[in-house]
Amino acid sequence: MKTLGLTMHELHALYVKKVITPLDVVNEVIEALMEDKNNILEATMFDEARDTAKALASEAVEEDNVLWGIPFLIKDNFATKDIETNGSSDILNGFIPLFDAEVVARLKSAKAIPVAKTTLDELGMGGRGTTGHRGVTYNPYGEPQKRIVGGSSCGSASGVASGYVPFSIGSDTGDSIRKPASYAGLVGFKPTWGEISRYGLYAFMSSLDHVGFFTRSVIDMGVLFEATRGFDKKDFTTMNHEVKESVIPEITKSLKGHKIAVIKQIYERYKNKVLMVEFDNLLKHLEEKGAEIAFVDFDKKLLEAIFPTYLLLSCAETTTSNANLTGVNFGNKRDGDTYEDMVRNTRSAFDARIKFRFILGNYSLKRDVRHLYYNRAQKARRLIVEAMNKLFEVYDAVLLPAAPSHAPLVDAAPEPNSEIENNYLSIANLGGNPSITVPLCLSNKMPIGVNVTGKPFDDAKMLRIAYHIEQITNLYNLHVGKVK
Amino acid sequence: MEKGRIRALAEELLILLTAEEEAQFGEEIAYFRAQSDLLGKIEGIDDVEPMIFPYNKETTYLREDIVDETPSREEILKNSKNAKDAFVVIPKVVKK
Repeated sequence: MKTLGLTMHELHALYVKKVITPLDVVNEVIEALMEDKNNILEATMFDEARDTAKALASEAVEEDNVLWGIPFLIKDNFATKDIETNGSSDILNGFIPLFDAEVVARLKSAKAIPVAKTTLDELGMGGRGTTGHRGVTYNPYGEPQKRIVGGSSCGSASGVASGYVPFSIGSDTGDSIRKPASYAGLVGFKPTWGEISRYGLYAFMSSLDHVGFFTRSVIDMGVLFEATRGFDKKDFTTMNHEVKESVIPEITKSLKGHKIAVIKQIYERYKNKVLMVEFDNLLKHLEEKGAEIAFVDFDKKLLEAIFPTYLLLSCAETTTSNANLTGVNFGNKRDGDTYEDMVRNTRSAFDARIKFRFILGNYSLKRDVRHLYYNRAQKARRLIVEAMNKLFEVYDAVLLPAAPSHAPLVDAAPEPNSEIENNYLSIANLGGNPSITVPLCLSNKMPIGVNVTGKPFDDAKMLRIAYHIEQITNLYNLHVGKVK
Repeated sequence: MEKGRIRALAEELLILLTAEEEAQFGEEIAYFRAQSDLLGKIEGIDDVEPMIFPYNKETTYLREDIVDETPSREEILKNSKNAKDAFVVIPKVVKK
């Protein structure tokens, strides 16, 4: 029986009926991954996955555990014990962590089965999925090997969109889950900062880095959020608040009375006609479901400040968070006559883009210019976050297209970072807000998503709005096999 | 930006730039400055308190003083190409 392209819940139902075993599923996933042509993998865990699947066969199916026996992929900036984890950076080639990232550990303890590590833009820095070890990671939609899938979580997005596995782990510092989710027709969620432990996630910019997932169903996403959230003593930035009751029953509740804002100054910038017709239709349907929609104003100067604020803060913080990559205690050392030469030669393995980010970050922190760069970015962050918080005093969520169009061609010029509609998603990283992308429509048989962002710790409400959008669009469990 | 300053910034980070990268960096810094200028256009920006953390929520805790298991020396040294016996060996730092 073919099981590729099934959601977590669909696979679980087959396990409960004893129609399939985890080993059947894992073998099919491995076969599909070996035939993949989209450059999605960094490392495989095939033997370990088969062993886990065989071990599960000797026990009873856990009927109340949807994650039991579910195969998944892991972005390669999450540590995996005894499996090489290099963040798609030459400087970490050969690095084998001694522990699992907390999110991986929690999923494994729920008896989900990791099958492979996915490629990414080097160290998570990039938005196109083109700068990692595998070169370009392709979008399974459209003509084969022609379009980007977006980054930095490119391999994780492409793998779930291809239907190989029902979910994958990603990380999101600017929009690295939610933008690829739009291009790949997936549900992509980064919960509130601090809800899921970052222990074992290679730091890009710790105050904006979020752990999240790709799925093809909002309910599946709810299960993952529930299984992985909560305080972790190994990451003291996780929130130690009392975990409320299950989010799953919250997701399907009515939308009646939910207030949803559309930011006029961003809405007006979209040009894709299919997208805008579908977006306007969505608003009508949401109103029919009882939501109240309002078009609201947002200071244009603050919208224009989102990208520079992200750029300045991320360059500065990544300079320090990656200062430990010297090749001395770990990593892919290159020789040199002196200590300094050894470190210089080792760090020259970084791609030019990474070097530039480090140097810009170093520059922005210098005493003579710090007030113009890093300090100003911190101040702009406050203004942007406070303006969003003010919106959330009245509205439950902000709703907008997640990208201006479907996935660009690999050879097309990169979308300008200065375009607000291309980069506003990082607003949710600046504020730590829960933010979820869900498929909205197909344009030329290629997906475009819509994004819902809310106030911190309103994760269940974001999942609820996303769930109702999924009901309206009928794009539940979208994958490339359904569109070709 | 003068090439001397670019080299000095790179040197502080112990990063080598190729001649091509050094030339390309001029474009990067111009873009970086143009983007940064947008922040200066926000009225009253310099009077705002910087934001380091976005929530009004306590996130620091005291840990119980309990001994935890930690990886062994051998395990930790496995990831260093400079490991010799029980040490990480690097070229001599103290100069004559």
